[in-house]
Amino acid sequence: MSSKVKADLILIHAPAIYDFRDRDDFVLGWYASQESSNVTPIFEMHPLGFLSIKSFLGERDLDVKIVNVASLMLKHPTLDVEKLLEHLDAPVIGLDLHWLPHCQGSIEVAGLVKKVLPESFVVFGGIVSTYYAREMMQYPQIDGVIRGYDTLEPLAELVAQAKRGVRGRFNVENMIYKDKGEVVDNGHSYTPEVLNDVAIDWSKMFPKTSSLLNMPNLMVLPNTGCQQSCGWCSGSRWAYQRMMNVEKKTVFHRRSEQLAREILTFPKTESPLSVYTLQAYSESSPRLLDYLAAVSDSGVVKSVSFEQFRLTKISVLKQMVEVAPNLDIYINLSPQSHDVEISRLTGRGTYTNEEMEEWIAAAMDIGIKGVYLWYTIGMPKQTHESVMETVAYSARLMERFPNDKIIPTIFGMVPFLDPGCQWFEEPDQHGYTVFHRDLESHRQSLTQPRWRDAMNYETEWMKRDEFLPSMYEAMQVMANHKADYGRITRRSIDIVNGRIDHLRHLTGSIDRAMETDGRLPASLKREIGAHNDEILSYAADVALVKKPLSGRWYDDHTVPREIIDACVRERAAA
Amino acid sequence: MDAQTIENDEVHKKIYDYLVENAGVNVSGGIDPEENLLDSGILDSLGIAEITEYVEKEFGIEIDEDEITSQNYRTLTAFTAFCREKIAASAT
Ligand code: B12
Ligand code: SF4
Repeated sequence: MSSKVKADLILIHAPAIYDFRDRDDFVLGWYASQESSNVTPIFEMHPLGFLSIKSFLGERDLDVKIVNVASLMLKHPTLDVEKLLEHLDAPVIGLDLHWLPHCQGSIEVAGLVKKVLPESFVVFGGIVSTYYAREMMQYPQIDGVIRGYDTLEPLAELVAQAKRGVRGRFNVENMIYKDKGEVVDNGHSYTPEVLNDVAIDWSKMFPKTSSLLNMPNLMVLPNTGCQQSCGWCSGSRWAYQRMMNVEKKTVFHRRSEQLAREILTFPKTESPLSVYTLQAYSESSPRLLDYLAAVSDSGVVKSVSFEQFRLTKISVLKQMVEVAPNLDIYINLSPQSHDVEISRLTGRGTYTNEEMEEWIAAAMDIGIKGVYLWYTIGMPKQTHESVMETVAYSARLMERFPNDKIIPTIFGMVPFLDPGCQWFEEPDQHGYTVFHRDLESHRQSLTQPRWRDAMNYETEWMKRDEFLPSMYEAMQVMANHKADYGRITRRSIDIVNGRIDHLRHLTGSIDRAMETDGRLPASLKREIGAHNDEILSYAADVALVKKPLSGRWYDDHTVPREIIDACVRERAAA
Repeated sequence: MDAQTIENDEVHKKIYDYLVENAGVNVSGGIDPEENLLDSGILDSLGIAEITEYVEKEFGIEIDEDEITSQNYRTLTAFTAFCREKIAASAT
């Protein structure tokens, strides 16, 4: 056998659905809305926390390697995953179940890991793992789960102990695990004040290529948790208090020194870097300004985007532009609905449309480059009519700002309402009905032919069957308005229209076939297979044109070519 | 004017028309052949992907990811020259 990938800890990111390459019994990407990131419907981006884990354990002389199985499968369609896993060698293998859409894929891949590497300890982590930690002990392929928004210390402990040969009675905070079949719960006591106290080294993250399509879009996460309590979010204050064993303090910041160290590692690339500053709404203005100044000083970044919860004071915006004159600054606002009553019920609604429009005008005047507006379907009191009014309002907004980069986007909160969020936990009080509660039913739902069976909720105002038609209509009309107002090209709109029409046709045909025969005819399966192959060649979903599938920071930089060749050949030969 | 030049002018015109129609910024005053398409925002990252797909289909050429460089895409002149080379290569 060719060489091995050896480490003390190997972190694996699985595709959302395994094995997406062979599936012709459901439509991939029917719900995908990855506009915020350059990924396909299998969600091949791993948590940023993988990079923090690698740096933190590295500082303790523990060797961590990241193997992005999802992105490798996408890049090498004949890759034999089981064979690939046979080439891994580590006492601990970690998988993320951070986002619920990965519940099928990560559990399946863990099964393969356990099969080929029975001696390795298989540990999970992430937000969803934290919520379902106890239930996850029922899967034979999962040995342990480390709970929490920050798992650096406990994971370092686990790896150090496993390296010393410890195989049971682990002294690891936040971990629930199996010791000779018995479930041992070490509790959830590690809740550090400072988040992920380490700097990520971005310097080697982008492959050396002169291609302009290499999208050097990196992400900086200055904090986690939230001050707000949006009812649909498992990262909210309400959810953190119940899930993360914290009380008053529900936002955890990283130290400014670590952010500054991180910025110094930004690489110089052929295309100018863009930085997506996550969770900026939980930052104070002085910290935000310091951060911006440091990014500006780095001299390698062209644009920065921020999310803001409230309408940032114009005086602060002015300072932002002043401290970073060489940066294009974009702001993301998420009112969720044009209807302020609905907006308020979602946890937002801190401004009216009139206030927002005045603010946009002022922001443009002082040099903010653009504003992205995010609207969501699936909110309380929101009907299909209301959704379409949001789209019509967006058109008026683009008309009012004809030459400015004001970009509205609408998508559905599909297929899941987050486990652990307030509306999931108290559905009746908020007009919600929840259909899947445990992890296993979510896992099974994702591979059902009919899209409605994957949906884990509906509202008093919109039933399950209404979501997809409403979402497709809203996305299509919105995209056409964007073309009318020059936000996207005429060519793009043809692609968008064609793709949404095709998705409508496929999902409709599946529904009809399942209703009449309870199964899918071979001809329809062929059509679905062809669609799935096509959608995976796009690093975008229904709403966008083709983007490259390479040059992204989360793609695999670990597995050497010779191993890939061996595994590709072997699968092809088999 | 020989047949080759006519064809070349056609390439230039198609790319010019495409850019005027699809530019990421207002170009009602036209596009100077030497204007920097990348710095001016006429081509952003999405625009680069789109124009690549457009010329591939329109001229029956194939562009490698490694060829999508700032050198080849910087100006209308540079990009037209690059496309002409690809057309010539694919014809042989
Ligand atoms: C930042 C962020 C993003 C960034 C992702 C950056 C990244 N690569 O990590 C972007 C914008 C790209 C994004 C995308 C998505 N996101 Co998001 N995101 C967030 C946000 C705002 C903050 C997350 C956070 O604080 N992370 C920091 C900490 C918690 O994680 P971390 O440092 O990466 O990792 C630590 C721990 O999680 C843990 N850990 C993680 N993995 C592992 C693995 C092992 C083995 C161990 C032991 C530990 C461990 O240890 C790490 C180190 O301490 C939250 C909202 C919130 N307030 O929490 C939503 C949130 C997590 N996202 C959510 C969703 C749904 C998504 C998408 C699926 C949306 C979509 N449909 O496109 C995609 C998935 C993208 C993909 N995989 O390709 C949901 C999750 C809900 C759920 N239960 O599934 C949230 C809660 C927001 C929401 N309500 O919509 N997201
Ligand atoms: S959705 Fe609301 S609660 Fe969740 S992270 Fe964003 S602002 Fe906070």
